[in-house]
Amino acid sequence: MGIADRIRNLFDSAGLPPALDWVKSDIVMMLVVLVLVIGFISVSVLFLIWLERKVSARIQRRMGPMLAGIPWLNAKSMWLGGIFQTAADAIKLLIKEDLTPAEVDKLVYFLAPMLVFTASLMSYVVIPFGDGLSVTDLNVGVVYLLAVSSIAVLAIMMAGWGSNSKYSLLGGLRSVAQMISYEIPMIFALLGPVLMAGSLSMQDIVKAQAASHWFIIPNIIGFIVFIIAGTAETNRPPFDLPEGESELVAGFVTEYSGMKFAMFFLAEFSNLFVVSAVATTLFLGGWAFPGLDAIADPAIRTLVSFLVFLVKTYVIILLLMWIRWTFPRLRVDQLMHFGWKTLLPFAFLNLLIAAIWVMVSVRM
Amino acid sequence: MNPILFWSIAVFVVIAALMVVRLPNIFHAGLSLIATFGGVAAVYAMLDAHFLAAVQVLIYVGAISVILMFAVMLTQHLAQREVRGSMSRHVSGALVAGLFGLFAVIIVNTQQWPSGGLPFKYLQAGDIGKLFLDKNAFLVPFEMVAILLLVALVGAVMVARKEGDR
Repeated sequence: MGIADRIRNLFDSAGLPPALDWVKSDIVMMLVVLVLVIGFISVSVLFLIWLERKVSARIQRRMGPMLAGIPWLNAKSMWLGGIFQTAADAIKLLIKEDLTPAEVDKLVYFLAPMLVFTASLMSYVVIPFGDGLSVTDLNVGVVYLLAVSSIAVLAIMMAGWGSNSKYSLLGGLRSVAQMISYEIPMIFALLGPVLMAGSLSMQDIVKAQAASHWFIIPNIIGFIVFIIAGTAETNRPPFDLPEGESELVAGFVTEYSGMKFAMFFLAEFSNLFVVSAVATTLFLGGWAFPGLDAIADPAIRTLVSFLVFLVKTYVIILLLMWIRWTFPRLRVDQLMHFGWKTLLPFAFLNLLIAAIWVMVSVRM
Repeated sequence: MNPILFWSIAVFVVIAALMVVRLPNIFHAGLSLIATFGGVAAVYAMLDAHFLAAVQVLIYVGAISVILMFAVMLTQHLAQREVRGSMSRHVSGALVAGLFGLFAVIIVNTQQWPSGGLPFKYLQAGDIGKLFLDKNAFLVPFEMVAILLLVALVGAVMVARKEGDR
């Protein structure tokens, strides 16, 4: 059951007059769910940017996000200090002029930021936010997710080429090479939990974990590989070579400004959430939690499962932020060696362990 | 299947395919090729072949085209030069495409297609996997394709290797 069906049931139980039946049609429901998802992404990204600034400021002792605010608030709580920094940034981004360089390939340059966000938005279709709380539960969910994330590579390539600038082109090339290389260990890391659940559907994988245990056992190697590959896929430090400031200005986003730049920014943070949500779903049991079945009221159970999912996801997000602000950037050759010669063999090893685990547990 | 949706996707795919061969800029032609692949994936999805649709996007859009475009981006003179074919190439290309289309129509209309059985919707990815590894089904062709790809890979390395390079 998807979110749309839940909203329909809500209307039915509220006693909707027959004249308003068009509200329950597929097209209206699609729009409603789309608005819900985009709203969720916007609020999440807003929160994530604030969180990232706070975490970075705490780790690296940056002044702005800790102190840009009212001195009384700064003294009051570490989380309220520097609360004006995000607002100042948002205002700066909104009032910036949207420049289009003269020599760009117009259509490609214009489409790239939209496509990069669309690819990110499409991933949200299969994420199981809670018990029966996903937009649709495709029975090929994991494959769909990987397919959609590969569209982002294309968008970055378009941004790099369409900008018609050497920094953008080099950044785009680096990014594509990196994303293709790290996609392979990522896929193999995901295969462990899929093998144990015997299904590609995200909801089924969570249910399989609710029935047995979190799939981080025995897939701990796969989990670590996924976290590393996921960091690389989202182009976050220490894998931010595509936008290494000292070498490439800002890589494929060099020529973008104003709202188009904000789209790349939005997609980056939205992808951070997706990677964490997928790690939660496949390795940490998703919305499953011991004692969840004891809650009788289905509405409260859904709400609690949603909260459990969010808490687990934010634990992973904090882990990713911790990694981001404590490691220095890799060199290009180190990046390729690490991806192909270290990460991939470990991903294979994880698949082997998962296969043996499944075989032994079937025999017993 | 919604006919309006199907026909709009079909027209989109055909136009994108025409643009692949007609656009003078090779990078734009590559992007049109990706649009074609995406449209075909949409047709698969409409036929309830979800696994096939996802794999189409993953393999063709996400891997093959990206590698292709990567090569275009690395060869700078190719990306900026306008590629135009000669008249004889246009004629022979149209001829081959027309003949292929004709044969496809003939084969589709004369062949007895198996009907009945479960619709694609109920076919899980696991069932497809089992068919690949069943020696009464597709095991032999599957392994043959695997060997063919390996041969192509080794061949590509051999061709690309510099003379006297050990």
